[in-house]
Amino acid sequence: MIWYTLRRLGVAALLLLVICALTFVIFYVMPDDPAQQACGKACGPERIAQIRDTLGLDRPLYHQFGSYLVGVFAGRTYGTGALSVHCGFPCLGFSFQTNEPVWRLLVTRLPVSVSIAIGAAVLWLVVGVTAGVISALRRGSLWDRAAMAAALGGISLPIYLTALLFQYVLVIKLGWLPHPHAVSLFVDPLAWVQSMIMPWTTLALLYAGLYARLARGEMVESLGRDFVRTARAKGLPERTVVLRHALRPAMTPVVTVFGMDLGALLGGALITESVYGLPGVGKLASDAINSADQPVILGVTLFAAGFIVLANVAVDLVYALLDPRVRHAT
Amino acid sequence: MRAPSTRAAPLRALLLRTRSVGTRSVLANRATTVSLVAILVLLVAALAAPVLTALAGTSPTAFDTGALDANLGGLPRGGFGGISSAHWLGVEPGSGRDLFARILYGTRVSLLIALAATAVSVVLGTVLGLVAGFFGGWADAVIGRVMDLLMSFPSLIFMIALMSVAPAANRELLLVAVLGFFGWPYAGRIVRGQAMSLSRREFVEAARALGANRRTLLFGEVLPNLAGPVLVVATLSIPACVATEAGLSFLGVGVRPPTPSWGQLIAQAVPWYAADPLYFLLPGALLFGTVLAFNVLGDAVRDALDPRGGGR
Amino acid sequence: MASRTRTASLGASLILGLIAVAGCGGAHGGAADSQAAGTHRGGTLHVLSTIDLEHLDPARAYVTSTQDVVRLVYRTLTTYAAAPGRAGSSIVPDLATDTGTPSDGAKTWTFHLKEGLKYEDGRAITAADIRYGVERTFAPELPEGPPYARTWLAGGASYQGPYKGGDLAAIATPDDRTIVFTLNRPVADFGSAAALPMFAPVPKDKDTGVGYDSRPFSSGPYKIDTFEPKKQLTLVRNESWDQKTDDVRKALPDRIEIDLNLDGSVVDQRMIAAQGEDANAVAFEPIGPASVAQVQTDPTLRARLITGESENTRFLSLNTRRGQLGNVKVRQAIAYAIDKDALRLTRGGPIAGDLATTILPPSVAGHVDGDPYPSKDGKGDPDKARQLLAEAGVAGGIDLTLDAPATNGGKAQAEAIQSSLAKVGIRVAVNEVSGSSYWSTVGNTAQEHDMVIDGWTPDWPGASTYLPIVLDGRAITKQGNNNRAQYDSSAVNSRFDQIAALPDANAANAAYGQLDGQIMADAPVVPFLWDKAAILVGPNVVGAYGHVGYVGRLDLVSLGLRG
Repeated sequence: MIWYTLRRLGVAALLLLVICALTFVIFYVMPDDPAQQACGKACGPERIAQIRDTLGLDRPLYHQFGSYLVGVFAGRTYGTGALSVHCGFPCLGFSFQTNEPVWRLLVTRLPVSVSIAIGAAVLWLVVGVTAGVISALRRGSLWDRAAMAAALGGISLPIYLTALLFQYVLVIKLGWLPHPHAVSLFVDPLAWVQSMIMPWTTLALLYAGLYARLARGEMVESLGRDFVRTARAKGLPERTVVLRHALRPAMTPVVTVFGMDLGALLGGALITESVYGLPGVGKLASDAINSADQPVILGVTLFAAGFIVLANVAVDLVYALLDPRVRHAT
Repeated sequence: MRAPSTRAAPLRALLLRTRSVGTRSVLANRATTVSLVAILVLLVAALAAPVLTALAGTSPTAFDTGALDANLGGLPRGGFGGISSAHWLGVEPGSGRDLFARILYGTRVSLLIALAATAVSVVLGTVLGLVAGFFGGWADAVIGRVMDLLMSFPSLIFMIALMSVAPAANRELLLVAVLGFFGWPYAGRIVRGQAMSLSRREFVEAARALGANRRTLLFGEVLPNLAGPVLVVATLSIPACVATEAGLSFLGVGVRPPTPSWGQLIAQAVPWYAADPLYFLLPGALLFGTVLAFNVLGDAVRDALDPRGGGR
Repeated sequence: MASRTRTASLGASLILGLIAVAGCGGAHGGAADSQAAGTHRGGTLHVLSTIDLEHLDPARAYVTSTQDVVRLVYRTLTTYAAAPGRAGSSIVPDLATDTGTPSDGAKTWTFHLKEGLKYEDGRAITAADIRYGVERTFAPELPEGPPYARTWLAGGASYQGPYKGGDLAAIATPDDRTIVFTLNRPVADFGSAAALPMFAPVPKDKDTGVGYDSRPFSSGPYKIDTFEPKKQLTLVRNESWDQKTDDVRKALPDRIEIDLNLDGSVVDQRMIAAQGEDANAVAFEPIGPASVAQVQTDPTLRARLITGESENTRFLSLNTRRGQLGNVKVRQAIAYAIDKDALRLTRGGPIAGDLATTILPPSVAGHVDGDPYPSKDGKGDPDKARQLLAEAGVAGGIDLTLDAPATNGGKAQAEAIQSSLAKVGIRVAVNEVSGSSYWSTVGNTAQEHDMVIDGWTPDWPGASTYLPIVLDGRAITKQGNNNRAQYDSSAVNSRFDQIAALPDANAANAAYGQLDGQIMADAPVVPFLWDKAAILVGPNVVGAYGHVGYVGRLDLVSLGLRG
């Protein structure tokens, strides 16, 4: 098991390294000059030269990438002399816009993204999986058809349409909810729920559709399996058959997908956060894109990729724990 | 970061062997027919955009400040987004450009990009998947690894990052390339799996025993049998591409103005959502309807072709 | 034009009056209102901002909106008067006892500090701290600040800042409360320049170099409690600040929370609803075009809308060094063709300001009325434009590239320009430049294209930091260029020198006004809008007026909350 864990982590690290390299190359080889991006409005030739020097832009690309990697794992120091700036571990550089360390920006934005992701995940898991399982049990019924039609509608909904509609109806027309703003769960729980309920529902509508379809499909297959038939033949109550024997294997793929989706959302729900104006990692990313703040874009990409890769590893490890065959097969 | 991953979602569900959802009923058939007709109408309208706007006497770029009320901040005159005989779907606040023309031209751009990107990803996926599945060995190892990498990649954030620094020239082509590149593993994986199992099937074994060469096998036996699964992937890839393109343009990294696309129209409508809700509702509803129609169609195609999924 | 703007500011004071009647039961007029309300101290004022505060460091704070905020935190030798309308553009003493004493033909400037000035930790503010603050602006590590110290102070050209170069000899501090600046040229309005943030005191032991940006040391009524860039700046009372030493800042609220980087439409909707804490809030930026209808049709909302005049002119720069734009007739054709009304409509219509016909706006002393390229309602005169193009021999049309910021507003303006020039056969391709690198890109002569969406606000009231900076041909630099028209007329350049040598500020302003007309005839730039800011304030907020020095935004130092 330890060996398996290490190997999975190794693969994950390799993947992150590749992502890191690709992102880095894209950003530093693209036509826009990073020094000019960093320079701002009152930007003279000396200033450009100085920035090039501080950021090490004159050195060969592999050298720059090396410094970046070293920074990520051990921190690095920009520039030389009295005014050099140290950027501690994990160093993702400084924002061109605000000169804040990118890592600090990410960490301060994370709670909002976590609030959105967790709440939405609970909603869509409960609604989606329940609907899917019931549909599977009552295949062909009116419920099944209605639920699956709704699910298809859900997965076709563009996030921004849902978000704008919610805001227009619930906030502007009916005045039932305030405009979402970032509040901590621990400071004002009611305001937190009021601010988060629309983003949660917006995301959950989409994902619940996906999960309902997925859960139904897996459950249908599971119900047709031999061991379920055997259990039924043994005369076990239907409840036990469904919950004990059919549900568990059907949920395995759901858990896989869930791990990946949650990982992706923790890295920031870009559109949801920008439409609702909530300052999470996703909003940070879209703002950075609008202001061409390259270190921040690079940082968010890595941060989000990290979540997704780690979520994959976590899912794999959970499997390996549950099912010994996995760790021997791979 | 893959913000609501409409892109990967349907495909992934397919890969995870989502069972069909009892869509053999008459109702479902009717839904499929309606979807098919809607898609055809949309395609024709997109192709005929110049003719239709000429009939309506409008253009997607001409300003009409006379249709706006300057003292109300440039809101269209007369409510309902300024719908009038001159502007069938109203006008854009702030500029007075005709929404009917802009949406129509937007449809052209959005559909063209989605179809082209799907074509790229399907062709790329089929070729590489075939090579991997049929020849195996190191080709399979390399292609398989690349597919794994791309599929565990945070593709949306990466696409956004890439598009945001990419040069301004020809955004449409760039979108097609980027969407196609990140989409091919979905087709590739399915083709690879099918090609692998096909190449071990009796009729291929038989053909091989009869002395057919690889080429004949590939084109004569394996490829025709892949048509079904590839068609399913392609149909489901179109709405995913439509949604992703719209998402990218919404975030401001897709097509650039004055070229309209659905995502971009909605992005421009965001500040106006309270004052002029029709401005975001019209392109939004069209986007939703299109994605839905393609999804319904995709389900239907899969039900018809998937030997295991069908009829359950 | 002048009368129209006066009506507008009259409107603003009437609105203030209305609030006063509603709140305090019978105060009269705007000024009286702020006095009456000024008695209540306390509460938390919220400021809802859609932008970031780029730099709080006094050496780097060059953005007008940031200067509005940092005036709460640190004091400068002089500052703008805290007053509505054009009275706001007068310079008054702040840390200094007066607005400076010139000698040696305005080449030496002496300031004396008031008594009892203290930092947030209670220690005295000394002249040496102001010297250190100015010296810091020379450090190449701290860029973005105004260039004036570097260009004016004797020996400034070779000085590398206090980190590498020790002290600058051109600034003397004979005692703790006297500071003397020795300049390399006469500068008649140095006392106005001393209102810039770079003339704020920085204690040497608190200087953390680049890091000072996130926590400047307070000499004003508020100190920084927390600062999360792009998210929030929280200010709390600085107990060491003494009201008796400060005639400008009222310091009424106990706490000021500035939410940054909010979405514009969200700010508008929150301000319109004004629920809960938002009743104690003000918007930092003008309302968006999409909210204008809602506000204009609701009298209670209109009463909460404060309109402020600015010194900002928006214009289209025509790069006179590129192709056909070198031909004055082509430039004049563009000046005729541009539909200014459509451009203004993209910004929300008349509420966004008046259509500009000269470079210097009416709010700047020296402005002379004029409209060399008239058209009905400012909608452009395509016939006249086509005629000029024909005379220039390009009746078949030309292709031009326009640089525009990749923001919603920038794109909309670019499309409006595209549409109005298309009518006269000028085909415009738009080059979108991401917001943050916009100014450095168009300021790079190698990267600038044919036309640039541009604008200018002077660094202090008056024309001396207006025309010479934007249109002096000798000021064209390869990078960081402000003369985006790359306009270089020897007649105009020598006129700039003559005006700079005028001893009398009024005469200089009048001369700049005349020169404005002379430049307009050459059409290197096409002015289209004199900005106004229409800003929503919460029902509990008093003392609100638009300040001409802060592009018409609210003067934050005068705001208070109802008790």
